[in-house]
Amino acid sequence: MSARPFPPGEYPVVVVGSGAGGIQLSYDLRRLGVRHALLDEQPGPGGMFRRFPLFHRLNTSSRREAIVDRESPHFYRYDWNSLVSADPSHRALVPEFMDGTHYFPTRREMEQAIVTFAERSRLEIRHDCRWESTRAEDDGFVVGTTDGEYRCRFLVLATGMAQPWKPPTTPGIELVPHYDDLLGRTEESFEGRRIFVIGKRNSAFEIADSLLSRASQIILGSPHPVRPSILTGIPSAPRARYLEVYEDALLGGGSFVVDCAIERIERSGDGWRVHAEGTTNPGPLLFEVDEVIAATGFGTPLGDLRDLGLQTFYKDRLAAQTPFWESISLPGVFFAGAATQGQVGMRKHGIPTGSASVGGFRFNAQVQARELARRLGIEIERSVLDPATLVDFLLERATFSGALWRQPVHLAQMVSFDRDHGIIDDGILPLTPFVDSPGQDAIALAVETDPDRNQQPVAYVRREGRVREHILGPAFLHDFRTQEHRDHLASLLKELAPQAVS
Amino acid sequence: MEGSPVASADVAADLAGISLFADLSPAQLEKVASSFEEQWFQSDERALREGFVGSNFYVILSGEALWMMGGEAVDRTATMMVGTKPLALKRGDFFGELSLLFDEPSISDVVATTPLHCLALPGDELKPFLLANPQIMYRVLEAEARRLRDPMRWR
Repeated sequence: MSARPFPPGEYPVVVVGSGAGGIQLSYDLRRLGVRHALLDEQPGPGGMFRRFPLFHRLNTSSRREAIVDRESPHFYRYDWNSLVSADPSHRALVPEFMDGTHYFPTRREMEQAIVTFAERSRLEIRHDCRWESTRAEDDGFVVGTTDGEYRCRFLVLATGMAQPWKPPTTPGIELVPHYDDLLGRTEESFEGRRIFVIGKRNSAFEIADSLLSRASQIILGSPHPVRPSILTGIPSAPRARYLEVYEDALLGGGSFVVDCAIERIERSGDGWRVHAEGTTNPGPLLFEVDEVIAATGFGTPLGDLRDLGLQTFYKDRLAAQTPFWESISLPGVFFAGAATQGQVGMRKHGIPTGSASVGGFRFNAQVQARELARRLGIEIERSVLDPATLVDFLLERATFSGALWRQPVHLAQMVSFDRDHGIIDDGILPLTPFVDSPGQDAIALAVETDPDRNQQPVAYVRREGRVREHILGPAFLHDFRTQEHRDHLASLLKELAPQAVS
Repeated sequence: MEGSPVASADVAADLAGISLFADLSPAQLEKVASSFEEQWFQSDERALREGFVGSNFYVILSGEALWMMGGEAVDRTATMMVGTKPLALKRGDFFGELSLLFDEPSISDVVATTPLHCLALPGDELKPFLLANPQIMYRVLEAEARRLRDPMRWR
């Protein structure tokens, strides 16, 4: 048996977690020549997809066919789950495992794709190595694990958003199972049961949808009304495919979706009593049911980092982060994977980042790898763009870039204009630091959704230290390579790069 | 930084201490807490951006910020008083409502001067939110009136 990789010792970067986030980051760090250790307590890669989702397919889609080839980097716009590779034959791995019966992959298909990505990319992972403690020392951290101590300058937690969370202030909620506790329970075991599900987000609807054909009654309860993705245009909101129970409630089919604050839960014979107060329609409510399931969400495992001063929010479930996903209060500690939703971006028109799912955070990892390399003094090559093709380059990115489409108003294509070096492709970077800090003349192009649900490119032009926003407008079938868009963009570039529009 | 290094696990209880939400029952506070999203800003980061569309309505939970126009700190009151020391926005203060009420790009920046922890309500949800919560609407009106009445005393 070959020796396990990454023995305890000193590494510039230690990455904890080999789910989709940790693997993508490790892949990109290696490409940039950043020495690091990738550790995971699990015996194999896959992270949360080794367990979740419990009953169902993922709620993020991967098209098997699109208007571009699977080998094209543009395919990532249509395949929200595959990890990002520079090697065309390692792209679109999730569609490779899907059997064509559905465009949402199963948990198993997703796990297979992650394992295969790690294998084909020949990534090294130290498995069965659990992160146990952390202490700050000199200019870095000492990470204690079951295998010994790792010293690093930067610690990256890619530990997922999979730690069960219940509201600590609801009496009795500690007695009922969390979504996570249902692992191992079959759908058949809910036959004929009256079920109260606490929560109205995707995990709550996933359970309700799965048990609709088994349960005698399903009630979903939480304070706020349902805001499904088909109304909000937000992919992390309850997805259409889970909403049959909601429709059943609206049509009087025997299910209920109630706006209420849970006051307490107590045992009653073999069942439960849920005491609540209506929110949309005030008044006391009492539900008598056979089962109560807390689909109240998840948090990031943060170990002992709070003791070191880690600032958290979202009911203590996420670390507050900078635009490069570094703790705002504990410099040197970074986050990758689903935990990167702790950086909420510009939130224009209330649209959150895409960082809650692989589709978005895989691109965060690419950006973060370059930032870590830069912080470690590794110079990253940037390409010089031909002025004659600059407009086409940007509009093609706006039309096809997976990073721009899956991280709307959050990640942007940057191009800077340097008197000495010409027009430089700065790649994909977070938008917030670009618009909030002075710097050389540059343009950042993002894709955004407006309140009328138009999806369109928006250009942020920085000239003489001041950034202005220019909405380029929607286009037929989202193809922004139109004369109108070309003219608009050219007018913005005129002062920045006259040679690009001559 | 203000407050505990660890955020409250009970946002509804935290809201109860803010005058904007002082008239709400515990159940209503739970609902309001789940209507807003939390957002952290670093020092010098802009929470509101002059000339940009699509901003949100913000209520400060902790930290401080300043209104700025053209890079200068201003006292956003009815009469801009020359020489007046700009007043910091603090816990319980709100901002972002003007551009939403007028449906136009923000006329000023709001810049965090310390780490700033806010609740954010998407712009297009402000009107239905206020109409559904008349007590909060009245508190907003009171605060706006105070800002109009006396720029030197509005806090």
